[in-house]
Amino acid sequence: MKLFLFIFFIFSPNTFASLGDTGSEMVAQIVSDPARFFYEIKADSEESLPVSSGKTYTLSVELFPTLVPFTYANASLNYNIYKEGKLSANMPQIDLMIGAQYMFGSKIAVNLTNDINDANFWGYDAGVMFSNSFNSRTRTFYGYRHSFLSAKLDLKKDKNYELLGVRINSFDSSFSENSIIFGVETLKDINKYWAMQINYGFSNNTLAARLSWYGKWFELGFNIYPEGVLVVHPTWSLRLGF
Amino acid sequence: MKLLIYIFLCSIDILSAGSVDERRFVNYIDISFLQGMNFEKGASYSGGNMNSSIGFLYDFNENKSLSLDYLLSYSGPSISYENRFFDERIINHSAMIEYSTRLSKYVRLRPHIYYGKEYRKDSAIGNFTDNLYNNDSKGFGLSMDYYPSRDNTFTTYMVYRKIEFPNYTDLLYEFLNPGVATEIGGGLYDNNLYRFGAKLMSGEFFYSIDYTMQRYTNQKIIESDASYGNDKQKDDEVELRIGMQHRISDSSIYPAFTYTIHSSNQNFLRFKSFTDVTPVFVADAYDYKELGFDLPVYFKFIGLDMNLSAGFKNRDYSKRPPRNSENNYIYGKKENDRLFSFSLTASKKINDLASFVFYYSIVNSSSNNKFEYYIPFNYTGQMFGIGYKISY
Repeated sequence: MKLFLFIFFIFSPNTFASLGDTGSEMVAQIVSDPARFFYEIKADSEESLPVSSGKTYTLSVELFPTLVPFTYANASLNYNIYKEGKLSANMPQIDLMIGAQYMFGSKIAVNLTNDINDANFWGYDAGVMFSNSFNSRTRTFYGYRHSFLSAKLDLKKDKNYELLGVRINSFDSSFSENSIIFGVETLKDINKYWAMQINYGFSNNTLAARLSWYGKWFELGFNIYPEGVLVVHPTWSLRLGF
Repeated sequence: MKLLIYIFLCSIDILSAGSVDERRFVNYIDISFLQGMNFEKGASYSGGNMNSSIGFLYDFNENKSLSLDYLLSYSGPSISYENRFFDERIINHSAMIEYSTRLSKYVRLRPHIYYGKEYRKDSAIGNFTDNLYNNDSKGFGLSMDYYPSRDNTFTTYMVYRKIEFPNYTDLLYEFLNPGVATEIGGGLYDNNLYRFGAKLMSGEFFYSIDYTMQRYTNQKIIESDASYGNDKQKDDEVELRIGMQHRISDSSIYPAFTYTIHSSNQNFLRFKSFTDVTPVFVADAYDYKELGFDLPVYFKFIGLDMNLSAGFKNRDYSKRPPRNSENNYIYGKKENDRLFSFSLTASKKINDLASFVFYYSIVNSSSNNKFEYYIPFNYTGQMFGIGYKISY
């Protein structure tokens, strides 16, 4: 059971300095609103960059931390429906965004331990993105996204579970968020981009700053959740344009 | 105790304009993000700030335009004196639509409408939805810019905001009647805010005056017998500001003095405990005069863009006596609060847009009020950081 929970909480000691009071406070934060914590991990995988110039699709899979270690199978697809300036100089590029996530590790954990009756985490997101060119190397982008996460953990009733002194309870909740996205993308070299963006969820006041570098195959970055349990999420994803 | 010091400071300041000649629509994005580590009285905690905005501008012609600005800010746990206490978090977001029209070569008018929301949270655990000080504001305003000559600009404005506090309940009633809190609705702190101001920029100097009135729609003044009086709360504030901008080669300096006179007809009742049957009454407890001085300096040093900034504030309450650590008033004196701040930012460009940023600040607050159960008055706090910055 503790091994299963540590898979969820593994970043607490790694991202911050100590396991002591800070760890207990983090676990308490997760226990007080578990769906929010798992939403932030899921949100790492939500693609929120415009489709690159000359491409029609962007397909991305978050490898770290969403897939490993949190075992969220995930994929996001951005589809360009309008290229900037095609009909009017004032009209921005328009992309549609969809994504889905499913934590297969939760089912494995149910089968491996006798402490859990059921565990199920899944989610989806969909949105629209606009982008304007500032010059041949820089674009601003802005958009809207709706996200949903279902989070369920059903522990055996006959035991008390604790982690770092905080009691762990069963939960069955969902987290629905509507976010405004805006940021800047810069072309550094051929197929090498840099981007900075803000994501603000106005339904639950979730806030994230994202900094990323990406090329032909992969995207590296940092997602910063100033109100999150884990403030800094290093990220690595496969990102392909067609 | 093992400490992790991490600061992340990112800033983007980008004005996006159309590269196509016929484009009338332009947008801009401005993002700044600060995540840092604070140290105060042997304790340490992480915190940050974020300020960002996105705007859209449509030019009808060279004299008329319409803009939409969306602003989003976050203030996390900080030694900064902007927060009511160290652990407070504030999210503020707002939208404003402004129409700008040039009436003549010398005069421009800018009417606007506004809608904003502010959320607060007192600790890491919990959410932003049920805080007492959460508020919604909406309103309108009108600004007029007058350009008598190339080096002189005169701006005058008026602003109206209707500010509503949906969670702000009757604390006195709750205190005097324990157990009835759930029956009390919010909105006690709702008020109408009116602000009028004028600013003259002449050469290197600027001069401004702002007058703010807040008229509360429900909150009445508290009387010495712990009952409400007939008058509703009224707050007034006058702020005078004078400053300059002076450039010397690659350096620039922006000294500014601010003098504020704040008055309110609201009084204060001090209850030392739930069982205190003899609360102490302080009339006009919120009246004060404040003098402030800011000195930001920008210069280059060994290839770094440096920003040194010093600030000082001195607030003298007109009627409110200070309290000792036992929460007893010291009569014969008036409360005096002082705050000194100093910050140093060093930016190193790593490409056309991006820079690494090194950051340090120190804040010293002192007061003859030694009762600090809710709000700290006497402390020295520091903040360290290293980060990343993007700018055009």
